[in-house]
Amino acid sequence: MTTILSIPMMLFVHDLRAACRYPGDMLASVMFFVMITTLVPLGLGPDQALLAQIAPAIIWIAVMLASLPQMDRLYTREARDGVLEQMLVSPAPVPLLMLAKALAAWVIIILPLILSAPVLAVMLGLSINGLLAIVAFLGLGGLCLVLIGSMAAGLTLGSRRSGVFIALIVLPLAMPVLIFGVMATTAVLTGGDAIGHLMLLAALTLILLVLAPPVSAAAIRFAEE
Amino acid sequence: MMRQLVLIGHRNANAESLDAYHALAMTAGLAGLAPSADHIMMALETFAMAGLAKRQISHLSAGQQRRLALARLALFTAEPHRLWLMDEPFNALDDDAASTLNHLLNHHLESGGAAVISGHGAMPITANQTLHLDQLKGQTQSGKKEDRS
Amino acid sequence: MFDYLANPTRFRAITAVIFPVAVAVTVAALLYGLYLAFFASPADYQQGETVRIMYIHVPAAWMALLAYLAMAVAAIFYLVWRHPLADIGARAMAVPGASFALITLLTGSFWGRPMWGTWWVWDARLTSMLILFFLYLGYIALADGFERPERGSKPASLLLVVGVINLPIIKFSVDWWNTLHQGSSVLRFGGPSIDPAMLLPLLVMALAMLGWFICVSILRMNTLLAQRRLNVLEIREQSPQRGKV
Repeated sequence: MTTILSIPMMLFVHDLRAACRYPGDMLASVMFFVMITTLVPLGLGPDQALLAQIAPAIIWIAVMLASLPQMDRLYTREARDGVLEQMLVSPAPVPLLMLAKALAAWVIIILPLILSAPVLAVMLGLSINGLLAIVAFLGLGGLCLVLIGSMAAGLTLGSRRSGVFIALIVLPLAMPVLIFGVMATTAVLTGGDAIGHLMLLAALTLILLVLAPPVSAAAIRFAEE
Repeated sequence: MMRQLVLIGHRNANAESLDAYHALAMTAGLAGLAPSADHIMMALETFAMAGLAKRQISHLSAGQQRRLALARLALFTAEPHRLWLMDEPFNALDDDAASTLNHLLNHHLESGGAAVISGHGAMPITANQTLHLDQLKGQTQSGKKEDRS
Repeated sequence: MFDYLANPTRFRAITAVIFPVAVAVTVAALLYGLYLAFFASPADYQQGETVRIMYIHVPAAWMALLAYLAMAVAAIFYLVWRHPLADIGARAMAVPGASFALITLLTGSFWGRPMWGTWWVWDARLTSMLILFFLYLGYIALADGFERPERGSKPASLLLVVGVINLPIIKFSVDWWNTLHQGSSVLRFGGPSIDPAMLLPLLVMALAMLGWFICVSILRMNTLLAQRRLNVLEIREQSPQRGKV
């Protein structure tokens, strides 16, 4: 008999392996991210000062747009083939299983974006200073987005609508992430109070870590009833 | 208290993106087991699926997928305390598979286990301790297995 | 007590008493409030007559928030005690609540136009109200977003709970964003504290809107109850051999 944590770990590893079978998905989100961050300068003109000023916002918005639509599909495969049902009767606490899936989604969706961010930051005229801090912020903010997305995916599982619908639900919840994230990034670049904003982002992450898995678990249960 | 169930639902719960071997390992894992490779192959063999171990789930026929779902039961022989919940398990099974299922079920019951099975009409179950819920008003036989039609 | 109220027939009987009272209060308060707002209260020393739109804007903002909180309470009742009337209540209050949010946004826009020359400004309060409006839309879309009409009740209720928990966070983040970008709040009325002569019309209008909200919610609840009853009867008609559903 395995321990409580081993089942979520197994699920985490399984999701990662499944994603590796379709690496095109991971590349797609990176491509989308790159597209957005190159289209904006093309649209605005090459004014370096302006670009540097709005670069944090562009990066964060691009991360949101590149990641949130993919969260929609977090549970669809398992719901279709019946594995979701098995998760609900597993000995492991269902919220832990939901957390495992969310963390796997972070690795699959957010991590590639974070790794591409420095390149884009340079393209947008940001200095190398604090790039590490920005990457850390994106990591935290990305975790928030994934957790919010997992809640939304669970709540909308089986619904008739799609796409815009999930965006409508996610937007109000993701707004604080955008605000805190952009402010934190700007603070790093202008030498402002980065630690304060980091604390805000971290607090939000903690709240979501506690809130999102049980909400997702309950939502899945409602969907499978 | 942790759930101790084995669920054979209407859907087969064979993870679409995997092959038969790994799909079985996955559902076993979700249920809290960590079976060895030999153990998994043995379970596949029980329902004549050993030769299809490396076949993608999407390339299996409906009958094969159902047998794969039932093969899971062979992994729980060491855990009779689990409650088996089965939704129409004998549906569309050929005689060989049905008798294998019956055999596994008997073994589970004789080890002290219990099962709740839903189905339509008579099922080829030979366990001698059954409680048919639809016949409660008439005859009753004491026992642990309940059959809801 | 809540079990007592849960019976739909009894509910209809109780609301049959409450409803006329609510209508009377609403009409009286509305007439008095509008009179106060447009005739009997002073104009603002800075903004002139346009400040009068505040008497619709501010109570509507209060009601938009109050309605959402009431919906969240109903959602909790539904999720914890599975009260079907609680779900009906939340669904009934959604559209009136959303319309209060919309009215707040529109009147905010009209109010701002003479002052700043633009139809919209990213003031902290207006932005928060816009997000609240999206929260309403999300709930309505989710509650009605499934093939089976009642399938959406539980997810939508859960969404309400999540939304209400996030509401302080959203409000805080928008305020934070606003102060760091724009400076002090733009939509100010009557200085740091409200002139008492302006307070009375505000409160009376708030009462009128509360009364209107109660009336409309009761009407919608009865409609939704009748709709559910109709659905059950239709199902029964289509499968007569089922007997009692």
